[in-house]
Amino acid sequence: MISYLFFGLVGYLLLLLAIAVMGEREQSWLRRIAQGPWVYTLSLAVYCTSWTFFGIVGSATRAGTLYLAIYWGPMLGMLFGTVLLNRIFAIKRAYHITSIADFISTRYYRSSTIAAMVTIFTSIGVAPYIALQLKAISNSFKVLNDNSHDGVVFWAVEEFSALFLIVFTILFGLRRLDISEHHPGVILAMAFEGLIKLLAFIALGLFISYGLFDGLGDLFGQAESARQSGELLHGFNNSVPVSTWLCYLFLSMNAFFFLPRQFQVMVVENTDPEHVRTAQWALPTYLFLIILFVIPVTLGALLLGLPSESADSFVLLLPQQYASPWLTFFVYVGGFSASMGMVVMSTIAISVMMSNHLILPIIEKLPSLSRLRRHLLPLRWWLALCVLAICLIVLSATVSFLLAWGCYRLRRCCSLLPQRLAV
Amino acid sequence: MKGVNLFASLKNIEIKVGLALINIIIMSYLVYHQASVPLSELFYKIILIWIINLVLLRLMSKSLVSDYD
Repeated sequence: MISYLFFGLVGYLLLLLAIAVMGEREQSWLRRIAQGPWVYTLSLAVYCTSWTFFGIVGSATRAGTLYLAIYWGPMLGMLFGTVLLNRIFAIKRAYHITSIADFISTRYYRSSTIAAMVTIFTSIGVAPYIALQLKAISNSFKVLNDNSHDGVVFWAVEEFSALFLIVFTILFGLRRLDISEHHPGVILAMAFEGLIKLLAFIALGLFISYGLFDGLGDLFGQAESARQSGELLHGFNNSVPVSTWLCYLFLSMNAFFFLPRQFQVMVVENTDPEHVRTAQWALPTYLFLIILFVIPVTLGALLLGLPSESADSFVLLLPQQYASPWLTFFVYVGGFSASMGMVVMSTIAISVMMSNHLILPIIEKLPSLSRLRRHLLPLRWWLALCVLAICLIVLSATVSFLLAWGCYRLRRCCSLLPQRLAV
Repeated sequence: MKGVNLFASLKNIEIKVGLALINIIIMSYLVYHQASVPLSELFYKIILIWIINLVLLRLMSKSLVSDYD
């Protein structure tokens, strides 16, 4: 299993590199596509991370339809998206905004203190988030190999993935200094990944609904019987508190527009404000399609006897136990894409913010460091490296803590994170 | 008597706020009562509401030209 997964993954990563290279070439047909509304829309799907891909089924198992709030929020946001984004685009053009820190500080007469504070807070907030995405990459690998190999192999996968992500981010996101901060190669790769994770989830949903059951009618019929006879579907047997639902809705609506990676893709990387017209209906359609089969997948997994404790792995366990290796691999790649998109875009956004709002102000204040101004680009590479290194340290520290102390509360907290923040 | 263009009216902020509120109320009701609704009914209702929203968003995006002028 390990060999075909590993080589398949390497092949997929090479394909992503090729797409990004083609996206960067001036005269390439992919470059023209990269600047179109469909690629813009698909790149916004970086909102759907591994917590969507894996965690959403776990969330549905534990809390029924509560997960919908995470996707309903952005859809409601898109009702007002054009009004909001048009104003943000106008500010971006006028003040050459390159990040969310830049945007917020502009409101306060370009206060460098505000920008630095936003950078620090977002970096602190995003680091564990990136760490959990890296964890999802290694965990999915672990699940598919039945936990049968020692920790060194999984640690290697984690490190290899992180190394690739660093190289990819530096090559296509931070290779050159550009006042507009546009990265067509990265955006094209993100759009491709968005497509892959969507197709992977739909393929899994169709397989469960029509391959393992005789259609949705049969699936819902069996689920209804199981629901009335026992505690199998306890997530759907409890009410979702309206206050919780509204909080999730409000948070997800804001997260969709103002998470650093979302702002980077939606505002900074935008080449034409007209693209929002397509994204306004096409992105909610994407979200609709990616969550369409969540209830069938959840019900199918529970009816087939998979333990609800491993609900976050249902998406991988189902094809592994009942489908061909190809579907299993496709689903694994979908999950990997979901993690990778988030890590790459967040790292680019944080590196740009750190170099512009933390490092540059220090350099300007200390004459002895003034020669570093000429080396801003390598500085950003180091920052990207540092961001991912910090995330790995955070991840290692969390894992060590869990292993060493077996702390129930932290484990519980980690298991609830995808449910609470599944974006 | 002057008529009102349905598509053009969709871009009014009052209509958008109204649509958002209707969405919030309907969905809050649905998820709060999920335990008493058959699973298939729950699933198809969610799909139906989402599709209605998508149609409205599509109509809005068609009537947005003047926003960019």
